[in-house]
Amino acid sequence: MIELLAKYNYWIVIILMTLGLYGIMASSNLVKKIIGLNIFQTAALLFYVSMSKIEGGTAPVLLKQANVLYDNPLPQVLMLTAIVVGVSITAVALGIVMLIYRHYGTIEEDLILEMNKHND
Amino acid sequence: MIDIAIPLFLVACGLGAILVKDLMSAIMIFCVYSLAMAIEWARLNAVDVAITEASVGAGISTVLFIAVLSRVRKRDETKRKIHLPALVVSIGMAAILLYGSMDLPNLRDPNIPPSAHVVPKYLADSYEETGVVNVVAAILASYRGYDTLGETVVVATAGLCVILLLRQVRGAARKRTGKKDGVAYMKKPSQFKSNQRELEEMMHPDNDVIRRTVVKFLIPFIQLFGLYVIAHGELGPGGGFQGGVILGVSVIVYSLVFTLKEGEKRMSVKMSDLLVSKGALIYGGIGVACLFLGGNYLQYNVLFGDPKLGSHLGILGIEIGVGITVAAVMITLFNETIRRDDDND
Amino acid sequence: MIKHLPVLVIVIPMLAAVATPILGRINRELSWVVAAISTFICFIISLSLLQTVMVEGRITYWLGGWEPPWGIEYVIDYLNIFVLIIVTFMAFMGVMFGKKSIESEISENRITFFYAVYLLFVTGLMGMVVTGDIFNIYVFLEITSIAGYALIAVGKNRQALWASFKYLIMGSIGATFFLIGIGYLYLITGTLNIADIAARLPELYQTKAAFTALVFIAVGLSLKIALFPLHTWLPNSYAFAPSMISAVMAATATKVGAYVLIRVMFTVFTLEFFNVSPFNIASALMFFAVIAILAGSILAVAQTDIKKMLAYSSVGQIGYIALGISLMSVTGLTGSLMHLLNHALMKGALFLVVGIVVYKAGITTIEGMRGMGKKMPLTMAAFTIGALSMIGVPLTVGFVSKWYLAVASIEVGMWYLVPVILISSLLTAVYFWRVIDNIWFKAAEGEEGHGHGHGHDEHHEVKVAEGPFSMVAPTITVALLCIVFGVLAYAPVSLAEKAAVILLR
Repeated sequence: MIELLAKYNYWIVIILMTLGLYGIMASSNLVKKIIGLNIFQTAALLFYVSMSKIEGGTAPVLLKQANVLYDNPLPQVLMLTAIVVGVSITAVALGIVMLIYRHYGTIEEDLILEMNKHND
Repeated sequence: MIDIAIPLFLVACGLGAILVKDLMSAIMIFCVYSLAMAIEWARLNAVDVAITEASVGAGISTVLFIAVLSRVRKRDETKRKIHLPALVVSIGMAAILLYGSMDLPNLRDPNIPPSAHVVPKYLADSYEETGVVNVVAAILASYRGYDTLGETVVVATAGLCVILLLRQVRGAARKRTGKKDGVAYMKKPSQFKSNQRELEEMMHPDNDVIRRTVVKFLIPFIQLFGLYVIAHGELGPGGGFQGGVILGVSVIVYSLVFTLKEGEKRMSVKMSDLLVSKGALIYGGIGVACLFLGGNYLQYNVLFGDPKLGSHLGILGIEIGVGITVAAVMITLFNETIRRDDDND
Repeated sequence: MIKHLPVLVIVIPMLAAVATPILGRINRELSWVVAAISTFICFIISLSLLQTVMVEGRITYWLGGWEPPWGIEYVIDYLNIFVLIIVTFMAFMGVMFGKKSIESEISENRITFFYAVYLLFVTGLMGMVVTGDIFNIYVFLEITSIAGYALIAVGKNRQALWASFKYLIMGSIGATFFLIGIGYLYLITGTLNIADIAARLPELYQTKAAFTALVFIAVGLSLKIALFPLHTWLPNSYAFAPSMISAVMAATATKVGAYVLIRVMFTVFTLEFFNVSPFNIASALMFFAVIAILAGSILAVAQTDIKKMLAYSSVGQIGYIALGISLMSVTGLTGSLMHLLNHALMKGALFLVVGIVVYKAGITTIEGMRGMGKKMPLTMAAFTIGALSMIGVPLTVGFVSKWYLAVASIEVGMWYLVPVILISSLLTAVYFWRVIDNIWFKAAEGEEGHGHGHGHDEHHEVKVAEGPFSMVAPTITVALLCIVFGVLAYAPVSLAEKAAVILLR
């Protein structure tokens, strides 16, 4: 079990990142692209959080007794930052999508590119 | 076993969110994905991160997605079945990642470099040096407090950017140049109206007295809880971000049930704009105060005669700053995305 | 306070940015004043930091008083002070120029928030430059990116929205790649401090993880600096952003990305790594650099819109910077750093000129530049200087870097790179000649009846109508610097050389 878990989350992260990147590139719908981007980013977060866990460790809140094995708090701190960054990007992206819909009347990449071609 | 199952569930959700054509379903699946991710992180003992993901990833993001969806067409109209270049690029990336992961150290091993090098000092000395029991909070607010300032500024940036892009742009909408596509522009108004009606229905399906009373009754408790989470960061999971999101959500819930106009009576646009800036200013200002008191930037222990008390004071101060900015930005994001065009006139 | 200057240079614009919405509520004019003052202070501070670096060689500052690697550290040496001065100078020139330009391009009620976001954009760039902590780079990278997306999206044309969205998607992928790269590095070294990683990494040079980390960081940054073929977000972003933003972004954003790439390749990793690594990353970078140089120039020739032409030319110029990095020699790196400075000045000046033309005439087509030489002789002189510098004519700053790059190629035995540089310079001459020909030797549309062809000025005088002083002055300043540093190249070159020597130690 432990041997399997030693690499298991790496694989999950890789699969999720692949899914996310494929979703971003393949879908023509802008909202779907943003969902793909979110999956892509959270996969990176999972990568960090996975490395914070130690077999037999407890959450890094200091306890009175000595010799407690704690999980690694640093990746958790970094990922708190990264989650917030992720939602910030999502918010700005959705704002731009709303404007795009207002000015193009669609949120399909193919149609937007078509309209841009006629614009020049 | 559950450590194997949850990640598999994540992959399933990820796959679903990307493949489903109906956008509302995709967003719902993505919401479940975020929740599952939060559970996975809680399983990994990263409680702070889990709380944040549950409230931000599953909560706020979903609300924003739905808000946008209420305006736009609800189906993904991608024609092609499989996008070959995308497949090649993403599998190529996966191959490199896999190659690199082959000699990465084993997860869960207590002797891997991240656990062996920098972190032991945090675990050993953080209580002595910062007076904070929750080591995550100690690093977040003190050792790497500057990153957290950056993070607060990222949130403020998102708030300001959304204001810059969306506010009052309605009147100026037609000023944008570029050839207008007759079709797209003709279609829009009617479509807009129907979408708005849906939005209206979504926001307050009926004048449900029970709902209103319950919400009115609950909001003070939600806010109290938010404040508690902000202050609790030093002792256990929690802190400015999580608390700030909860505070923000309390106002968002009010707007959802009582309409945006009512919500803005409670928390005016002016006020939330001001708070976006103020939170970050408090944080940065505490840093500047440290400079004047003879310390380095954000060196809290100079804030007060007793270094430990100074450190407490500084950490509490910045947590409050973070909470204010995060709450205000969450409200701003919600308001600006959900606001109907005629609300401005 | 002197010892706090390294952090103040970031904190001042950061706090000014978040305070701007409050001050803008009192008086709209204040937002510009705040932006101007804070960027000017930053420029002065960075000059003062340069002085300190000249004496001490390396300044460090511990944030929160925590000793690295436990806390975050600011490190300023020859390399980043060089970049910091470029960024702060161009940011200040941008604000000066923006006063009138932005008023004409952005609706009045958005100006306050525009300057707030602009300051955040600049803060993010500077934060990336001065920090000595790799995760801190990521945080500031995101500040500058998010601000940048919004700044592009406020462009007048609706295509700005699409350009911005595309940039957002590609930029976020790039940033996440960077994050993954940091994760790999952290997992094998256990630290985030750049100096500490550099100290612990050599024994891990052979690992696949270290290699993958570098690949992901390099690809992520290549997305950010728009290295061909990852450049597709850049042309439309620069073309449809407000003029001032095109100028500042072209002059600073990609430069800072290139700086981080140099920092990661030569400080986090070292020359030693590239000798033992299983796959030759430097050659791959060189391959893409050469393609970027040629493709960027060829695509620029094909453009009819002047902003797009300048944007594609940026793609080519980024190729030069990458080429200098990939040569892995002191001369090459000096050339690369000099090109950072050059390109900031030249492209800055050119985009500023286009900004004036947009302000006065509202056109961005190359055809539309006809007869501009008579209407705006000073402005067009600035354009000509920028263009000559881009081509690499001696006595301009563009010559210096191309010279160094060519010499470096010969030094390392890759003489075949010299023709690449020559061909690209030739192409640059071709596409700038079209503009210059229109500016000086063709009459404006209305006057065509009076006579075709060249030099008919004795017949009638076109009224001189330069842009407002606040726009022309920064443009001329930047353009003149192209000549000043071309003639007195010694000062920047010696700085760049020192930086290069330290990096390749």
